[in-house]
Amino acid sequence: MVSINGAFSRSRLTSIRVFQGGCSFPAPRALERSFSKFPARRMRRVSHLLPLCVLLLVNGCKTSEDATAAATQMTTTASALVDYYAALEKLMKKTDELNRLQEAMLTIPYQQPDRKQIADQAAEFEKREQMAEELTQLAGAFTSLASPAAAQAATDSTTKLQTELASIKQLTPATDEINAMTGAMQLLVSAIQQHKEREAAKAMAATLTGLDGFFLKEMRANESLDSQFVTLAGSLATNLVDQGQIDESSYVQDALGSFDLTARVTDPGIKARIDVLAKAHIAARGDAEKRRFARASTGMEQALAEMARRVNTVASDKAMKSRLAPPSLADVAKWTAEIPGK
Amino acid sequence: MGDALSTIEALYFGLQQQVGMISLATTTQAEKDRFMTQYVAARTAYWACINKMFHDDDPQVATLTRQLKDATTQVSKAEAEMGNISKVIDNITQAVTIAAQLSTFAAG
Repeated sequence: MVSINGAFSRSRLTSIRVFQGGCSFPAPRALERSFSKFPARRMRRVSHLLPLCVLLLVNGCKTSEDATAAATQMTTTASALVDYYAALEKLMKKTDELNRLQEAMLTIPYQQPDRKQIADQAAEFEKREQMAEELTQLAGAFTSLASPAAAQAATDSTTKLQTELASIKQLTPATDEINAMTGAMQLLVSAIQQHKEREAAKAMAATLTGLDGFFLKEMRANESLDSQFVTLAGSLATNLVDQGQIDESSYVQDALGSFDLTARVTDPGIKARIDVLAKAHIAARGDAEKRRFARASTGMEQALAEMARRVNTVASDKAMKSRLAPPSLADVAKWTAEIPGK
Repeated sequence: MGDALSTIEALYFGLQQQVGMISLATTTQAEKDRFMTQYVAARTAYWACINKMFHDDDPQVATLTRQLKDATTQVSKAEAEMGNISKVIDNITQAVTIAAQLSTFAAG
């Protein structure tokens, strides 16, 4: 039923179910204990969404398992979105480092305004990461409908999210999508304050639809930013090969390793031919990285769209077709795990 | 991201890929400095555009985009031949000048 990065099994969650009010759903404390093996940051994101299960379950027992699955999927997807933006922020910082390296190697000046522009872009991705975190906070806060304090927390959370949204500098015009999210969040708070669970879930789905649209609009710009990093890194690597600054011995180690022999390539002809191989390798790896990022972006977008559909399905009291987390998130995890230095 | 930014992207990424080779091909410090100035200007134009937005339906943007595409094609041809490095840098200068002009049409 539950799968968070493939690390959480169905049997583990079902074993900590409790019976409450005729409906079976995971007990928050028990569920939090079961997440104890997760890193603190991910644990925090997940725990904030636990009350969402409760909200969605209020709609009726017949959809309780669907509701739980939808909440879990939302958690997993929001977590992947945070990781996606964090990885892009890291790429911008790596871009800054590579430009400094290029300045040192090739004496190409790297000063203002370029430094500031790259730093600004890193800050933009940090804002998006915060936005994704705030969405998780909101999902958790809008759940405890009986408590005035929780309603206030939902309002506070929404205000923070709206502030995050307002501070975002659009890479591609996406005013309609941002306005849709803002409007949906206002409906969400209103529904929570009036204890209208179904309307709250529908407003959450609308918020997610807006987020999907926003993400889709920026996908091409994100791909460009990944490409410039890959191209710059490839350019520096190729330059090092051309300048004879790599050890070609590493290329023949596979042939010698099994025999406990160490390479010492000194022949200029062999070195030159290996350099050709090395440059082809740099180009191929660069292309593969660009394809991996394109798949990650597409996977993220598909997961956001699926999450919106699923929450909407639960809000409409319909049965979901699948309770598994979107498989496309695997492409996101694959890319974020491979960012240099991560 | 529209056609205008894609065109600036093509110019900058192309220069990124060739930066080492062109630097090596320069025969005087003046040539090298001239090329580096253009490379930096291309990078600045790219980042100025990635942080902003274009209105591709603006006729001036469309004209400059078309001109930049042609100029970038000339740069690629000259780089492929690499016979006269001074001519290569002239072509790059022409393309980067258009890219810089185009980047001023990006709205914040």
